[in-house]
Order: sequence, then C-alpha cells, then structure tokens
Amino acid sequence: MSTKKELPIPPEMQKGVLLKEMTVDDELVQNLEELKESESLGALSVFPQQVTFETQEEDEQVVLVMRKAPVTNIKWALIAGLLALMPAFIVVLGVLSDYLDSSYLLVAMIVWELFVVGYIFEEFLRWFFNIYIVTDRRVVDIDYPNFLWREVSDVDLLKIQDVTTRNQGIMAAIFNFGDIWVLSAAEMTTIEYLAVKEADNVAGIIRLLAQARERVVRGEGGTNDG
Amino acid sequence: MMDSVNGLVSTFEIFFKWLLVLGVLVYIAYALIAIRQVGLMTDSYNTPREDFVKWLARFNFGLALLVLVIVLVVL
Repeated sequence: MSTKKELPIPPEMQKGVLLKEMTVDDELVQNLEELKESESLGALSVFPQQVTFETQEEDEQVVLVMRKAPVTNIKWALIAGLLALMPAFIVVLGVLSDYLDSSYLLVAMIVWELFVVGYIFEEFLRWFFNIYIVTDRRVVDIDYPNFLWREVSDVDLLKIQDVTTRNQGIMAAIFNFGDIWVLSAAEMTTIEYLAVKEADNVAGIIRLLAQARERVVRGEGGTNDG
Repeated sequence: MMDSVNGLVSTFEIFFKWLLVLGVLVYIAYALIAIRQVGLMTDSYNTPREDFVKWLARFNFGLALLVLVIVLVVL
C-alpha cells in the first residue's frame, strides 16, 4: 500500500511538481536514501544540485545522475602509464640513439608525452560526458564515444517495459557496479546504463518511479500530468 | 661511404623534424576542436565540476602550443 512520504530532496531544489505530488511509497524513499549514502565522486548523485540538460522541462526534477564507476578508468590509466614510460625504455635500449641526435630524441620524447596527455584527456572526457540521468519523467542516456560524436536517447517512464540488470566480473562484485538495460515498449528503444554503482538499487528506483508516474497519470496520486 | 651515411642520417633528421612538427600541428587542431566540443557539451548539460573540464581543455591546448615552440626552437 502506497503512503505519502517525504523525499530526501533539499527544499531549495524541489521544482519537480510531478515528483512532489507523487504518491511515493516507503520503498522508493528508502532506496533513494540508501543510494544517497553511496554517493561518490561524480559517479553517482541523488537529487544533484546544478544539474540541468538541454531537453529538460521547466518543472522536471532530476532524481539521479550517474557515470560509469570510477574504478572502470583503471584500464586506460594503466595503458597511459605504460605509454608514458615507453620513451624511457627506448632510451635505455638505445634503439634510436645511433640514428638521431640527442636533441631530436629529447623533443621526440616530449611530443610523445604530449600525445599521451591527449589520450588521457580524451579518455577522461569520454568518462565525464557519458552521463546517465533519471528524472521524475524519463530516463536519459547521453553517450559521448569520442570528441566528434554525441548521442542522446531517452525513454518516458510510462513507456518502460522492462528493466534488467547484470553484474558480472570480479571488479563488479568487489566495487558493486553493474549494467542496466531499460527497454521501452513503444519504440523498442533500449537505454544502456553501463557500469553504474549500485545497479540493482538504481534499477529498483527506476521501476518504482515508473509505477509512481503511472499512478500520477491515472490520477491516483496528485497532479494529473499527462 | 661515410658521406653517404651522413647524408642519410641528415635526411632522416629533417624528415623526423617535420614529422614532429606535423604531429604537433595535428594535435593543436585536435585540442582546438576539443575546446569547442567541451564548450558545446557544457552548454547542453550542466554538471558539477564542468569548469574544471573547461580549464583542462584550455590547458591541453596551451601545452600543445608550448610543445610546438619547443620543437621549433630546439630543432
């Protein structure tokens, strides 16, 4: 049975008319509060401040903002570390010193390190701008595969048919992250949230928000916002 | 024999120098596009710490310019 509960939103941030009027059940509030305790460096924020996006409606409340778990950056960080050390190996092995002056070698090393910085920069941007947003109306997936390509997809909470989670691998088990697929009934669109922290909890929140939104639209829980 | 070897090394050095210059120029072009893209992304999506990312993009461009100067001065 649903009961009206207080959501853990700071009063100054409450702009989502829909969410405020929703008949929110205990489970949703509890899940959000649990998730708030696991907030981490940019990878997971519950009712985040200063977050807006291009197609956001005026009274749309951002509930969750996520990125891939920070630990997923270890792979490229290790590659970058190895690439940064490569010039040192070349100097030690003396591969090019027979053909090139030492000043040329020094400059070549500096240029190489510049490209390593570029690789780090690009990978960081890819992590930073791959954003997953859950609002009181929809789920949004912003993909940023590289600096020339951006893809934004969203699914209305009312059109969600299925929410699936998958946790696999040692890292996922240790650091508690997983993938979420949100399948839309109408357009057969699938939203992919990859390597998000507390995936099961987040999936639960999406399901509960979808149910709450459905109740609102049916007129069972406050405003009738179609 | 020694002259031809020296000539080959000298040609290789010139080729290498222009290869480095070209590489840095390509990188500068990338850094400029990256500044533009970061600007577009942060205009569309406001998230915390976006000022840091903007700063990072400009730093990347500045670094590339510095390396270009080093390449041109040293070689």
